[in-house]
Amino acid sequence: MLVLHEDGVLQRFPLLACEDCVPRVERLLTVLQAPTTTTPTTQALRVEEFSHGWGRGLLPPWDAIADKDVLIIVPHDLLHGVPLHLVKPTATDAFLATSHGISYCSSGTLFRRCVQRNAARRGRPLEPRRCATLGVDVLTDKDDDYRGLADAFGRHFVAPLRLETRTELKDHLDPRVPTAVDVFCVVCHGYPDGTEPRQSGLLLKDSSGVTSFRGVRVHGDQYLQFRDWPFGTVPAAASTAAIVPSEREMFYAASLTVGELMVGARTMAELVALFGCATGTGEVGAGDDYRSLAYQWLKLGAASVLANLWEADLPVLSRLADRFAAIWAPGGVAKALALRTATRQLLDEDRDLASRPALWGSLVLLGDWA
Amino acid sequence: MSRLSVWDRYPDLESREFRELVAVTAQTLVDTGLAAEPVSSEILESSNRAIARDLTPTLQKSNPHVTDWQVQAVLDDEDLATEACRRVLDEVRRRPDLAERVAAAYEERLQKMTGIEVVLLAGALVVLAIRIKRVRWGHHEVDFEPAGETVASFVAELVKRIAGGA
Repeated sequence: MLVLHEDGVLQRFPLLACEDCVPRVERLLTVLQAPTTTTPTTQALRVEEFSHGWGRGLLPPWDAIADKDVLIIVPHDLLHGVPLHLVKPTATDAFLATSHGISYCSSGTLFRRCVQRNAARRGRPLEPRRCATLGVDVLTDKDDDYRGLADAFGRHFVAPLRLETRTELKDHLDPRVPTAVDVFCVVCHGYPDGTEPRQSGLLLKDSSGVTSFRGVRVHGDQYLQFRDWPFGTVPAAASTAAIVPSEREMFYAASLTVGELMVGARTMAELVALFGCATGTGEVGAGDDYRSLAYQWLKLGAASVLANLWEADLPVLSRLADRFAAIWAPGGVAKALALRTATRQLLDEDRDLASRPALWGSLVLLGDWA
Repeated sequence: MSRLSVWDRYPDLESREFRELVAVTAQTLVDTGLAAEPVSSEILESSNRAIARDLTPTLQKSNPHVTDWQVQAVLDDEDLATEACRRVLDEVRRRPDLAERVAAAYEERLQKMTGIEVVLLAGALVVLAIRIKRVRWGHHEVDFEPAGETVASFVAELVKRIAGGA
């Protein structure tokens, strides 16, 4: 492990040996990402073993990081997606998530790009941040709850823009039209596709009978108009059945895939909050590229992304997200520190949650920490 | 006003709710069950083929002609598998403490931003119901053994249906 300090000093520390690390990481990620293949008790046990035990072997010695406010973690290979923020680095009861601001990034290059385009680092004007929200549940009849979380997040910003459909969201990602949105908050189901990561996506809804076109750049500043079809089919389980009956004539379930975001989409948002199951889960590709929905948003221009590494608990996520937005939206606090403070407040208020990190620990910050 | 438990609506559940209840019940039995041999959560991932091979010797006690292919056919058949699950869930429902624990786990599962449970964990549920003698958590201990015999006989009857009444 390499630790690069802010003054440029580089330190090396040995990590847990591979033969110890690999099977443990695989077991941990399995119980977190595929919870139906295990039991809540087993899941809690595995996370506990990681937090108090072998997870410490994946961090540098406490003395090397104790005086830092923020840790930017660039994992390698199988460590992508490992929730290092749930480790308790010392014998005290504090998680790394409450002692430090944490931000993950899949590579140093991507992190530099995120930093360079982050409006917060360019001395943004004093005007308030503009936020667009979208909340939809096309699977499990909890549309009001999802919409409610998105609205609650948006209420911390001035005049939030309420989006309803995939098409409206994509309108804000048009590469030819600079968007005025600084923050996106999308609450929906995410679905990771381990076989073909480009097919991973968000489950949204779209308007029936509406045909939209997108400009795709073919050369220089020349664009051709193409009919905007989703790049992937909606998983079989997501039919229109769960869309509110009164809306079934107007909407159908539609996906927004990683592949679609790779073509003709751009944003300069400071933050994209993707609240949904496993929006931060991905697969390691060639060149140690971690391909996930969340990282794709960083690649298309967002400075930072909030995403879930495994399925989120809606009430807990709602409380955490609301606190984060309340701290960060007014300005003056870095995102990583806002998330640290929000997590501290949540755990101080509800001590039971501290013993159940799988409930709150799925939310992570990716990209720039500021 | 307290919210209705899943058992207040059972068995009138939508298919996705039913699959969710089956999965949560199987998880609860793994977590709390005491059997002659330790029960591993790996059973929740086992294929119907593997479970059928595991289950067949038990069913052969009541019908020596049962084959593992017939047992697998029952587990693969949506309607028959649903019947088998109902029989186990009926047994769970008859034990109020256990039913309450399952209902609490079901409610907790509903809070997750998860997708739809697409697999009916019939095989795992049946094996667990047959193997587990008692369930225990905290200060609660519930006798479950008679349920296993009932479920085994019932599944053996379902196999007869698959085998054309043999």
